[in-house]
Amino acid sequence: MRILLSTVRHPPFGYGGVGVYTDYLARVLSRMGHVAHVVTAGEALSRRIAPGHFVHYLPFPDRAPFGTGILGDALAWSMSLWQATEEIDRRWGIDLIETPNSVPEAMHGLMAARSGKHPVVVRMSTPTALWQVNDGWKLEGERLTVCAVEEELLKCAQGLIANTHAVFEDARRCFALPNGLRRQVIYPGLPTDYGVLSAPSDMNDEVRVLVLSRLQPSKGARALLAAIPLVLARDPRVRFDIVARDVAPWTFGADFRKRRPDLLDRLKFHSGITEDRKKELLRRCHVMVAPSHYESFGMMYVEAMAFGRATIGCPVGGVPEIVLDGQTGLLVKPDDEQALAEAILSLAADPQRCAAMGRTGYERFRERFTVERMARETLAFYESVPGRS
Amino acid sequence: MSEPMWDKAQMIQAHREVDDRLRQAREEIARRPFRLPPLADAEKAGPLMTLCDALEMRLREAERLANPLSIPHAGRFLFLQRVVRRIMRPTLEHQVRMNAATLAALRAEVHLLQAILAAQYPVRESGE
Repeated sequence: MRILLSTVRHPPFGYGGVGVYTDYLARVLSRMGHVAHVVTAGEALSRRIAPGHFVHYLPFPDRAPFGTGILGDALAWSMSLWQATEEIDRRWGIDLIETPNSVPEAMHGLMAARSGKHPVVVRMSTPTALWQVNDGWKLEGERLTVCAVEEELLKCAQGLIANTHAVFEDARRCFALPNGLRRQVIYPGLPTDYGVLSAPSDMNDEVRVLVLSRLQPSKGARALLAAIPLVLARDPRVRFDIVARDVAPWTFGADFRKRRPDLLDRLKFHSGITEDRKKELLRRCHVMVAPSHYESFGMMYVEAMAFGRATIGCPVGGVPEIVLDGQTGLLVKPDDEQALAEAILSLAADPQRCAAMGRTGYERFRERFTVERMARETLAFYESVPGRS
Repeated sequence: MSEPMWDKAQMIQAHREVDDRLRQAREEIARRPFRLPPLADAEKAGPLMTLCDALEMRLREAERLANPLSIPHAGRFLFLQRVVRRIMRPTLEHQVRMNAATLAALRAEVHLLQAILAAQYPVRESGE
């Protein structure tokens, strides 16, 4: 089968959840004998990674005719994507297009679905309306229009893959899903050999807590940065590695560094790190923390599980489908720094429990969250979609 | 929907806007010529492509951390950007025709540029 996958961010230049699973999915699909074209934004060199695996980097076009803002960006990029889709179809042929649910990619998905040339499958993570509301935005103007794009896309698409059961329920809550739309929950995954199960180092002198997140309200940045001083004050062994950057217009990280310079010898903010460096931090840590108020899936929990590390999150969105409270990690009330601090301190105080959770998490990763399983289920779903030539 | 997330009348208007903007996009598409960027073969380009990617990532990081036009080394930054994006990329796209000596020279150039970039725009990994 010849599949076109779109993502605005793609490794090695972008590591958003969609970009990461798209990259892995394309690799496995091509290994299974199918052809995967990934279209993505960038100035980098377009390339044939392997037989049947292409990545096309499209320079961002002039958006002047479309105006500024999220809609202008989405339209400009979708225009390029659409032109690329037509050329790829002419040169190699396309049997099916898969698109993420949100803009900018969704605008291209909608163009493709309305053209009726190829069946379109939407892979749904957080509905656009939800992440905007979670970040405190009011749904009006362009922010509402991008929700309309998503709703329209779901009306025209031939299939819907939801990342988790929670996402599927959220999609139903936000949109009136068409009755005939084929749908399935397929968990995204990582390669089986992404991480290596290794025993964490002893915690006698040092407990390393890794944060994989973004510093914005919906990711629980406020509670996280409020919990850190509480933890550091009570357990002198704890060190934080924070792989999380400020996301405009918020300045949580910068404000914290100004406010608490006294803590900076026990915590490190990492920015612009490579995938190898992230894996090194995952291997070295004892616990991974991501206290998001909402995650449709949460690939960072799976990344930590692939290294056999305990995880801490909140019982929101799809997180409880990944992190089993008390078995592979702990789930704490969102936006509650006291609860978060207590959870970190409790695992820091109990190395055996921490290691046992990591081992159980690793087994769960191998069983449920590999990209090989994701690709098999996805292909079966593609085969079932109506309108495939 | 258990709890409406938006005003229904506004949403109807938003759907109309989607139609209008897609029409606009179709008009732009008809006006603009497009050519798919040429493909390099990752297996043949190999380590050079990896180096080019690494350099590109450093440029992006430098762009993200500081406005290149407002920093003291703006001239060098823009020069490096041109080298990578206008010279190295097209060169790599046609690297299959290059001989070993040219490849080695280019690789040395990439290492040098990486060293300059690492010194001028270090990746921040501290609590600064």
